[in-house]
Amino acid sequence: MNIALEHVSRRFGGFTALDDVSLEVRQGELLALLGPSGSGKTTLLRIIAGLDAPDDVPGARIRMDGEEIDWRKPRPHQVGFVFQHYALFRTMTVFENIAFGLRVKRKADRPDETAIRARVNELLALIQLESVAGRYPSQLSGGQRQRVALARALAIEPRILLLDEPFGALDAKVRQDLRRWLRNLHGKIPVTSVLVTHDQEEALEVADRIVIMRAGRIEQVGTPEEVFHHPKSAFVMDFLGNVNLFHARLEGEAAGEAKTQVRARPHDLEVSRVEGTGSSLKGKVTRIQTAGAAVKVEVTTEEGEAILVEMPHDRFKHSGIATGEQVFVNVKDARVFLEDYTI
Amino acid sequence: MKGSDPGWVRWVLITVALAFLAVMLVAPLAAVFMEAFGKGTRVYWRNVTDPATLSAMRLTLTAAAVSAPLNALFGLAAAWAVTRFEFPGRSLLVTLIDLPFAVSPVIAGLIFVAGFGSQTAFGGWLADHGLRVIFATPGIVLATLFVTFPFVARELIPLMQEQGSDDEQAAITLGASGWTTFRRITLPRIRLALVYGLILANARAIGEFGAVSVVSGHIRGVTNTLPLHVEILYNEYNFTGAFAVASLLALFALATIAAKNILEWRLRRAREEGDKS
Amino acid sequence: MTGWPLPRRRYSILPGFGLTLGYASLYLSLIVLLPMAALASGVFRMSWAEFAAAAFDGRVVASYRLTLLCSLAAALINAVFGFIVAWCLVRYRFPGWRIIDAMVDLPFALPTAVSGIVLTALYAPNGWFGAPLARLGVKVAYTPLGIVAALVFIGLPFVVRMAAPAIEDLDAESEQAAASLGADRWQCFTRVQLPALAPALISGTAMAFARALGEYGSVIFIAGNMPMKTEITALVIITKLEQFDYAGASAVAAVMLAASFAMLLTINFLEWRSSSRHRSAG
Repeated sequence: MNIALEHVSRRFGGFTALDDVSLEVRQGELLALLGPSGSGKTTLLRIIAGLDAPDDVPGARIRMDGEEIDWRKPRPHQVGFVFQHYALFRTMTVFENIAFGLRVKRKADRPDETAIRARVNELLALIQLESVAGRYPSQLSGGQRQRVALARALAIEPRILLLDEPFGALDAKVRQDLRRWLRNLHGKIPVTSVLVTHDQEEALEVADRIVIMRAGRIEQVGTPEEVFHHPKSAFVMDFLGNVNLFHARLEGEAAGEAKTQVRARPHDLEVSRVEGTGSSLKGKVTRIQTAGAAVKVEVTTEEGEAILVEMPHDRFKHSGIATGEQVFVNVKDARVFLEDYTI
Repeated sequence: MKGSDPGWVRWVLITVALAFLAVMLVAPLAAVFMEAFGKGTRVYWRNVTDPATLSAMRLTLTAAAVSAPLNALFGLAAAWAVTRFEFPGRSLLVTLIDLPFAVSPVIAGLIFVAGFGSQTAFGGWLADHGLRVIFATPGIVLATLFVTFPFVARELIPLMQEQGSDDEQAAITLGASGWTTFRRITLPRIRLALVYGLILANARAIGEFGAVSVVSGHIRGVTNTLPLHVEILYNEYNFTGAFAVASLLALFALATIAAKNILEWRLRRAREEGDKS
Repeated sequence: MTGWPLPRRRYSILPGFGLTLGYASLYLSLIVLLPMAALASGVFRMSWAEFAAAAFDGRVVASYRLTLLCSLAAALINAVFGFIVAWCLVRYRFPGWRIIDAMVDLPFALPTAVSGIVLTALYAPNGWFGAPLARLGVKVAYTPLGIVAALVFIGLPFVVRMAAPAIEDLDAESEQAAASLGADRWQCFTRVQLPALAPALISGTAMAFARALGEYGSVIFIAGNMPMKTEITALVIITKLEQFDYAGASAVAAVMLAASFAMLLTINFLEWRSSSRHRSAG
């Protein structure tokens, strides 16, 4: 199913959670809603799910598969919603939780008990929790509960799957494993999915497209590659990955004495004893951290600005740079955004 | 928590506390039974099985039995409305639920005389159609309802507020109807609190004196509840009889205290397990 | 979402709004609003002169004074002894404390008529307590002292149940900090712990006071009920009703209700103030 939201706003008292948001969720994609707290992403997710409704403003529309729906009435179709704190039914076992959606179907649509059992076992195998089917939620770990919540939502074969910060409460290692697992799952069961997260690494790793939100508005929508390498605004660039911020002056007749900010990613900078052909800054190496996937070198300029540069291990070894050395930081790629101009 | 108070302070305080409680709690409880059995067990038994006593017992139990399901329904309905929805007038509703606790029992009875007594238009109309409210059983039930309805609601509202509606929303997204959601998701989680509230309400229903005194006609054998019967026996100087009936009520009070404490312990355990999950 | 007369609610995926709010509103209207409106209309139909004659008659005013003073005395006695009981129950573990803790609920659970007759029996001149006190020249039953005794009984659980959680919440570290700064036990208690417990203690005492104001069953047996001397306001109302003086009864009831609501507002205000003070203290 694809869903299109047009001009959706939502206010809670004096607080504006969503401000004239329009978005299309495409059939079969895994879309991530990414942003800091208060950006409106959970509100947007709940409106897509039908758990909440937009403010009654002219122009606000919600379309499903092209057809406009009346969002004032609770929606009849089924969505798979995975709550932030799982909302597993405490008085039911894992098996009963997953079977719930199938058991409460109307008599006409309800499969018989054997069919229900088969489907639940299929899902238990998918989430690799066959061994704990008889346990209660309080007896499971966080990661296990998360998987049960997901299986429960998938049991009803929803046309759209919505996940509200699904991995937020889990340890880093478990989070990573589950991220990979979700990605694989989506490959096997390509149901339209929307995921809310504040973790940019998660969004970049898992999603087909990312929606970056700030203060109730959409900043940019695009594939991970698009938003990472071609950020449309300073906020987007700052939010995804590390950024070095430089202050600079514009030169040229049209600009005059304009000041601006320049942003460069640590891996788009190079540390060398030789000054580069493009922009270059002088400084002293103040810290080197080799424990990690790449080497992080901190260089402090004469003006006291700290620059973070990332380079692969072999390049670092080859360069032989040490703490305290005077070096050049060569800029391979940098960005200037419109909003950074002050004239 | 062990105190860091010096030993002699502890002993003085404990002695004072125990002496106070012995005078104010233990002595009255003991005295009820001693006076009841003052003339021997046979007299006690005769007093307890007296037809007037039995009819008073019937009326008391009727009022309690009628008010229990009505209070439970009200408590569930009010708690669901207040904790699952936002609407103007919500805090007014909550305040109204607390109202009976602020009102003297005598006034609780008076308002029903004012509203349903045969001197009023409404009451007069009812009387013409053969339905007496005041000085008859319906009035007693109404007065009982007034003083007991808040108990269940006051237990359920904070609990359901704390539990949140995520589980119920999950059930609805999975396709369950409202009724199924309530029955299979909400009820199991509030069962204990519901029973606890009913125990408190029930104890109040059986023991209510002031409000019922105003709306009843004090007609022996017809509109007397057990507490009113105690008063009548006492005013006739039949002290042993009065205390015999009183002892029944005291036994019931002790049973209520026992049930209440058991439930409190179970509620506390359930909350601790809830915190773990 | 629903039609008149129910208020519009915000969109919610959960059903049952109309049904539950409707039933609750109907119930409240029948049991609370309509009867109280009937009482109010009776009162408003009286002229001020009629009202004043009924509500401020000498006998009635004497009952106000008696009820207020006895309730206050009982509430203060409960404040002191109830606090001690709560302190012992929370901080000391002596054999049988669990049973005693459960028994504190007795005045809540015991019907007021039962407590009324048994307290009278205990404090009557030939009772367990009444006899020794009579030898000392102190009459309790059928005097205001008896009223106070009965009101202490029914107010006992309020202070204990309000103070106990507050005592449990007392911060052991503050005690230790005060001791390390040189405070002795008494200073620590009066300067550090008591102020922290004050809000709960005041709330509990106020609730015991409010309950005592309206109490009927436990008091009328031991009171003696002599007009101008030992007649509580609740009894005045009942007497007027027995004489079919509905207007008079309503007038006095209106005064009682005004006092009750004032107490309710005070209690809510006190609880709000204590919670906001704790919030700002962090």
